[in-house]
Amino acid sequence: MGLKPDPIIILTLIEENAADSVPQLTKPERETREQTQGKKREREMRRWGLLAKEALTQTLTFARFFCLFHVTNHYLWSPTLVFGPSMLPTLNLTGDVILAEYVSHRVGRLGPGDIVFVRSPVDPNKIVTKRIVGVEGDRVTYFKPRNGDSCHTVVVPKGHVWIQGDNLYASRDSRQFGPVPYGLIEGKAFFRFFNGIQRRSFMLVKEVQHGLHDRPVVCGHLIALDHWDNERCNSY
Amino acid sequence: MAAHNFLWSLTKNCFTFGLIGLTVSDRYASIVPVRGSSMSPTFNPTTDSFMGSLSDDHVLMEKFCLQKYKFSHGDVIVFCSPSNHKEKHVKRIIGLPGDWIGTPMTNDVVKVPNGHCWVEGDNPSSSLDSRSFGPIPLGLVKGRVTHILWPPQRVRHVERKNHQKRHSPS
Repeated sequence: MGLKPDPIIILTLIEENAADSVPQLTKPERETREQTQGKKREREMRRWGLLAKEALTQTLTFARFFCLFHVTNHYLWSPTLVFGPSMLPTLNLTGDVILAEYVSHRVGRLGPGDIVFVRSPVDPNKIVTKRIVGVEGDRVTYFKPRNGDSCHTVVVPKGHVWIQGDNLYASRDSRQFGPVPYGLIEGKAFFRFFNGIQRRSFMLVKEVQHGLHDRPVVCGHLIALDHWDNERCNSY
Repeated sequence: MAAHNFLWSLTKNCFTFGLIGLTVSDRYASIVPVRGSSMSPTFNPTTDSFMGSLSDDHVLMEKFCLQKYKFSHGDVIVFCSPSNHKEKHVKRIIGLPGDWIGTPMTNDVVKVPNGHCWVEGDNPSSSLDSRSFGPIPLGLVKGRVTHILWPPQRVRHVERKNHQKRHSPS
């Protein structure tokens, strides 16, 4: 004989089970819970949105800084390290920090006597520092120290410049590779930061040149050669 | 006051985008119009002087090749003219340093010196190129043309073409 379950006991059991699984909510309480969940989701989305906006702002700031850096270094000025023997005694053998400016060659205000940075016609990955001796139309007289004392005269063609290093004995310049197209000029040197040898801290490079040697720059023989005939140079 | 702020922020935005545009076109790529018919039929195949500059081909010029100055035979490049640095020309590289170029006109052979390249236009009859002004220094190259972007019916990749009979590596 089976026990017939007591309906009251059954109801109580059901009620207890129900109470364990889902808390019994009244209608307004259920609505508030849904609203809270929705608000939490909204807050999370807003946080991601803020994070994305923050990342975008930082990227834009970085891009702005990078572009300003690039434009200054290519269109205004930038410090450059130059070294080598070809511009002695103007520039040091072991290195000078020079402020190069990139405005003059774009406006076309370069002339003989300017120290310029030129992309080498022999190796486009290298930039050399030389002095402009003649511009288009000039007649330049030069000699190669290793090839005897014969001097050559050449007319600089249109759109080209003749560049020479100040130290004619140790310089590969237009005497070897000919006149250089103006488009290869990258910038002009106009300021030098001294690093310790002299007491004065700043000096304009052009002034140093004329102070040391009084010969006309157009001749290109700034290291005086005693037996060089001055008349040959002044004939034009 | 609100108009003043708006103007100021507009100026700042213009300046920023101008800087970014200048940097991108200097370092990565830029769009260049091609004028003249020296590169027909690759660019400007029809001489349509009626439409003028609207019918010119506009090409995409990339500047990544300027990191190491490494080019291949048949590349189309943009370079500053050696006789006038303000003009830019578009031609194809025929010879790289060390190549021997034979000119059938004068029957002599020219060796391309170190750091230079020999450029010619695809339309030899109306092209002012290395046959007149000699090999040009690679430092004059301002970019390499990869795609035609305008007019829309001619959008395509610019192929490298080799002139096998014109050069022979040494």
